[in-house]
Amino acid sequence: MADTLRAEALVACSMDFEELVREHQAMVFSLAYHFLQDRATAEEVAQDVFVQLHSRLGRLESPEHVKFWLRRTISHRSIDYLRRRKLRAETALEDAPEPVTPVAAGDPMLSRRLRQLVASLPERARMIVVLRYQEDMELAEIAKTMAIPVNTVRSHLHRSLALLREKVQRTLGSGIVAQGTK
Amino acid sequence: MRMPDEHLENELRHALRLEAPPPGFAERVFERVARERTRSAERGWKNWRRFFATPALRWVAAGALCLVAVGAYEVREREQRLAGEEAKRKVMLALRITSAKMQHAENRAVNGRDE
Amino acid sequence: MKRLLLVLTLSVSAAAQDIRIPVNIQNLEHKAAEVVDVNLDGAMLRFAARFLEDEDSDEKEAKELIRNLKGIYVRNFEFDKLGEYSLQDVEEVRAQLKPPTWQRIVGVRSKRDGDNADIFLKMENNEVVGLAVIDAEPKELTIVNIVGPIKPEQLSSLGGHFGVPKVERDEKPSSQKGGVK
Repeated sequence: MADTLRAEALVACSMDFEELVREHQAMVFSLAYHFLQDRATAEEVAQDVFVQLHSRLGRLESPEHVKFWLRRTISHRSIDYLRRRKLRAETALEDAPEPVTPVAAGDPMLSRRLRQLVASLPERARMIVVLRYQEDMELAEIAKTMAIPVNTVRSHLHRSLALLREKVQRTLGSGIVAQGTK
Repeated sequence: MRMPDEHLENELRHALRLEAPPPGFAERVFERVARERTRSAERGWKNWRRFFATPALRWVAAGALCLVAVGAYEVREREQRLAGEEAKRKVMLALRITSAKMQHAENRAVNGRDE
Repeated sequence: MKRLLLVLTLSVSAAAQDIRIPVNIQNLEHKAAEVVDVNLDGAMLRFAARFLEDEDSDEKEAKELIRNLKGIYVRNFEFDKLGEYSLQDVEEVRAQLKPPTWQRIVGVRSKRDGDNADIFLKMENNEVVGLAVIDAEPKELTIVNIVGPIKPEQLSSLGGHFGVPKVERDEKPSSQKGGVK
């Protein structure tokens, strides 16, 4: 009994709040930024999450639990922020304008274009793509983070990739060969 | 030419790579936490001062603190907390599935196509 | 083939449900690739509510929604193949949701993709005291029963919340006919 209390105290001590903020600030900020596409808003939401973490720290049981909690909370808060502020993408993915000049694969413009296209996805699909490719999370992890069935994650991801591929293909243009093509 | 899946995924990983937060982000978080702790401590202290104002209640408070120190209570609390978090997760999952299916039905009815 | 069986039965109080689930549908758990089976009676909902956080807007709304509910029951089956369940068994569930007690507020039948969906409300003295959703897709079957009072604004919130975007009606008039009966 006393050992349990001692172990818990050690875990709490080892999870120093300041260390946790410095360790995870890039992850939390990036998740919000890639989802919301606005640095100031992303900082606001990310700060809220860390302030909330401070009050929750006693209930989190391990560094892994902290990471799971942070990912889950920033995901939900970002989606919620978007809905409340009605900061939806001005155009749906299918209607997003395409650049006049074709863009080469590997070009920084392509990265920017991809981020714009991701930001045009519906909210849930967008967060799934961001969690998958920013955090390299497995589908089951994403499902647990977002509290949705894993097959839902799978189908959203599949559809999103198909849409993104189609839009990016048009962006690349016919004369450009994708890097890495064998 | 169709962009290979692997290439698209690599480009996505590159596009969605970690971004450094604005300079001073961590410090601003610490400042906010410190401000909220001060506000919370002031509120808490006022409540405790009122409570300890009555001499008899000080003894009651001392006795209550002894009870809290009992280890079995802490263990039971932890188990309750874990069970509660699990129950909460199940509620949210159930509501999300309900919401998704209602949305699916309404969308089909309104737009005549899948979302 | 991997199967995920997630049975979240904390308190099986079948009597508290409005809907009787036919045995054939209960047995689908053996065929399904993934199963979600949630049975939360009033006591479990009260217990869970203590852990829903006001700081999280979704959880706060959930807490408000479940406050007076008597139960939430969800069966969701996802299949790898077509034809794994019988529409007749689904009809057995629908047959329990008849007027005057139950009113169907949304009904979708699509012969094109075999997608059928219904939303029912249980009414008592002009107030909603229950909700049932039946969503029958070619590779997925979902039956939801929520027992207890639900306010209209909560219904609306339920239809577009908890991480799911609200329905956005088309700006332009749709030239397509939907599969609505």
